[in-house]
Amino acid sequence: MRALRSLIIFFVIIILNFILPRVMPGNPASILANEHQLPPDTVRILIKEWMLDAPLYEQFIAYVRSLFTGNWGYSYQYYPRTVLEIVMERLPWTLLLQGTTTVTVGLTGIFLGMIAGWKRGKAVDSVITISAVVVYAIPYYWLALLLQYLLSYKLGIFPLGHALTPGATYHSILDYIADVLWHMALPVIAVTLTAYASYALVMRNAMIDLLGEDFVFLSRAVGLPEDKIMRGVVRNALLPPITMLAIRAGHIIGGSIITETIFSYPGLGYLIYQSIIYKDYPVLNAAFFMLSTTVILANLIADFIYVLLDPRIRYGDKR
Amino acid sequence: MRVDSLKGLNRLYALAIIISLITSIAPYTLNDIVRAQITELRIGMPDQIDNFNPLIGTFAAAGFIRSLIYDTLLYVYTNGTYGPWLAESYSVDQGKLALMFKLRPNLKWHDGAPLTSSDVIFTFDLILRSNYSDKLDKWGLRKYIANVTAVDDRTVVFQLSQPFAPALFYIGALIPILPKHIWSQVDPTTFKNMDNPVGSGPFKFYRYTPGVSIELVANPDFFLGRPSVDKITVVLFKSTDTLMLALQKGDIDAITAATVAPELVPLLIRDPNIRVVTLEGSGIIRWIGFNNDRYPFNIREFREAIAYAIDKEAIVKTVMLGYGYPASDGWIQPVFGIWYNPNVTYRKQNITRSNEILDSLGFKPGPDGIRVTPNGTRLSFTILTISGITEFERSAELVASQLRKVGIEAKVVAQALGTVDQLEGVGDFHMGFMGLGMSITTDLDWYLYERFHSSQAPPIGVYAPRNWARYRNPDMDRLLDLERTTMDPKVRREIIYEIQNLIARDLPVLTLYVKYSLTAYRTDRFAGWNETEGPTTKVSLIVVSLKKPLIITETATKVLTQVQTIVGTQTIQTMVPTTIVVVSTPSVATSPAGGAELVFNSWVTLAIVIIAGIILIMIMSRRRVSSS
Repeated sequence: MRALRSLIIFFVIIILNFILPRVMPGNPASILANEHQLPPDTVRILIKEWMLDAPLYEQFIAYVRSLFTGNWGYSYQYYPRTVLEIVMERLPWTLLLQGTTTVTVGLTGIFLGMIAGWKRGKAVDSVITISAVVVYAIPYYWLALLLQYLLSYKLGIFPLGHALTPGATYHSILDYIADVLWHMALPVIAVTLTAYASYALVMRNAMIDLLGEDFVFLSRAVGLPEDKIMRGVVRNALLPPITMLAIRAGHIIGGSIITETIFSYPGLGYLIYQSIIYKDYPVLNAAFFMLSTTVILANLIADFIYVLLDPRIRYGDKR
Repeated sequence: MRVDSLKGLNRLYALAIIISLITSIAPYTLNDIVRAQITELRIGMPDQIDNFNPLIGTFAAAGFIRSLIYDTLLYVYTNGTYGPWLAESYSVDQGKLALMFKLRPNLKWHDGAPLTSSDVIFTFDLILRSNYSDKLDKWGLRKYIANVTAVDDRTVVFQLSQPFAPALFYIGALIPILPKHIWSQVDPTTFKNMDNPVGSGPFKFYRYTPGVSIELVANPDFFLGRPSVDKITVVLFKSTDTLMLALQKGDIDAITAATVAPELVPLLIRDPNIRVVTLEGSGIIRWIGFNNDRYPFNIREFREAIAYAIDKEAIVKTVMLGYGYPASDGWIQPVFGIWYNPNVTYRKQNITRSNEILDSLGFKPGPDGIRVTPNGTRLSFTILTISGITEFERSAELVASQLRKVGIEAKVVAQALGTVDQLEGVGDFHMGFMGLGMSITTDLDWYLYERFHSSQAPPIGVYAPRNWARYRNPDMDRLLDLERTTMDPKVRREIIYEIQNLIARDLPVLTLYVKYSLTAYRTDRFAGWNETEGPTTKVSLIVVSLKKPLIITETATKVLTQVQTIVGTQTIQTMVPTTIVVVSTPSVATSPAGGAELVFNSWVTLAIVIIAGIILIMIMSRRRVSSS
């Protein structure tokens, strides 16, 4: 049933993906021509080539065909490169950066929230809660620029940006990995700092709610050691932050425009942003297609994780 | 299945700590791999790489790479002269309508194959007379070039079918010569050319790392000798701010495009190792296109009244901080050197004059101070501009406030590029605030014909690519046709002067100001940069060398004299301009020492102190509450 529902959503999204970019005003061929000083004759050729003058249903058929067969068509901006090629150039970096930050954000948030909840009302709690609120309130791009300026420009600890050292020759795979990690550090720190707060607060509140439950009282009365009680509480409190992480994981593919722009990190976010400006329909279609697919998948996966975490949750009618 | 979640978390956390430790150690282990023992010049540019196919590529950033790999027959200098490049000499026979180019001896492609006249003929036949011509001949050259023939291995003759003034520009400076032995095997309209582009230029393609860099190495067989630097690493940036920061930090030695924002200049020049230069022969024009098909913009006097209401100097001063100059009303600006008509200047702000004209048109002020047309509509218009570009929006706002003073209401509407393009194209606008890069290295026809010829102005509702102001004037059409077909440069110049007079009189568009093309480079590692032609142009990069003063001066003068003698010995019938109108470098360093960086630092400190204070107060207050 859940799978079927996901399937229906998937098809609705495919249709929306086709319509949305095309309702924005403007014509991709003339935008490119204007931006790059192409002669008017080129515009006419491009419009024909890209089927922009064809009836909408023909465009739709071509769109669906390109989604399920082969290379998703040619990108308008990066012609004659295929969308698949351009996406694949960036996808690994997006997965790496967004995947890592999802883990670090989740771990930091849950860990700090756990401590704050457990030691509620104590100084540790105050420090964690208030610092989380303060950091959460700082605009992300400002913090990222600040970190870049201080840690990279002033102190030179991290590179200004990029995923690799430009022009470097590597002697071994270890050098390569070290280089990748070194370049990834600053974006990861920046994202973690701004994003962990909501997880910490949600985790803390869940902890506090659970600490007032009868089973905690009972465990204490029975004389269970504190770490055993904490373990039980934490396990139950994990559900809300895990849900949030699942939603976040769904957007991994979308990348982050701000992170990628500030740190010149290769990724899909900047590509999508540029594609919106240039109305690069094939790229937008492919990107939104992937995005919606991962969101649906991530939600499905999250549902299954709930079952593992909380034995009370069951799907279907098996009882 | 029970998971010990806390321990699991601890374990994961330990992993995270280890990863962060590794990342903090990484810089120290990396030192030896980063800097190899070769002279490596680093250039920063925007991350916009479409392909390395010079026939269909569009992005300017990728175009920079393409221009270093591929060569044209001639090289256009910033004083407007065509110097020898692949061709050691050329001649234009105006009577027979023929252009003759003689290639240098012993030219070689990057893969070692010889470059001969057959490659030149192949390239032009591909564009003019092949199955791909429809797509490759973007400029309609087929109408003008009848045939291309080889006299011998090194001599090529282009026969024109009718007089075509920009012929030398298209044939000599725009179209790159491609290797026949590679391009005859591929479909040139879908060839990405990203694996191993083979050209003849000073630098060979080495490697492209998407989103990071493009590496080029010196071509030992280059016809002017091997470039001094062993390698050029072009670093790709997604934000101009980071690009500038990298230049200040010394991560890169130069930037390609003229992307230095005026407000950054004082900051940059405080670093003694950074030079900020104004590129000669190019500038970025900002202008307002009127909808000439719409009342009252179809009235010449009304457009003139608007021109008199606007204070161009004020915009230059406030928005551009002085890094620009008021634009000539004749569209063609001083950056075009000899082609600029010095008698055409701009209308200075004259509110009384503007009011007089509006009064004489019968546009009387209404109760709210806004003028009303004789048939009762208020003079309330929109200025359409592109969103996201602060300079555009600020300048447009300033124009709007100046128009208000003569009783014209104007609202600035900033839209996405696609929307603006569409609205202007179909004529659904009043005034459009736009920008355009102008450079003398491109033939003037490029900036004139498509923008002012009535054949390029379809009726409202039909998309007009360039002449969206919809200016139609038979006199202008006649002049533009003449300009295009007059081969004698002296006569052509008179026509272009006349065109400027006409544009300045009719004002189909109102030019506002020309922004300096500002670029910057570092002087601490490399020397020999050619500031006149631009630090990152081909002629500069082949002489730039690691700082060893003696060698640098030698190489630089050698190449320069070589160029000059060849220009002098040949019989060129095209005009060689002698006087260059050089845009004077603006006086910089007007802000007192300290500047933006100090401000930034104090802001940071202040922010940290405030945040720390808030945290402290909140913690203390919370403690008191919980203990009571």
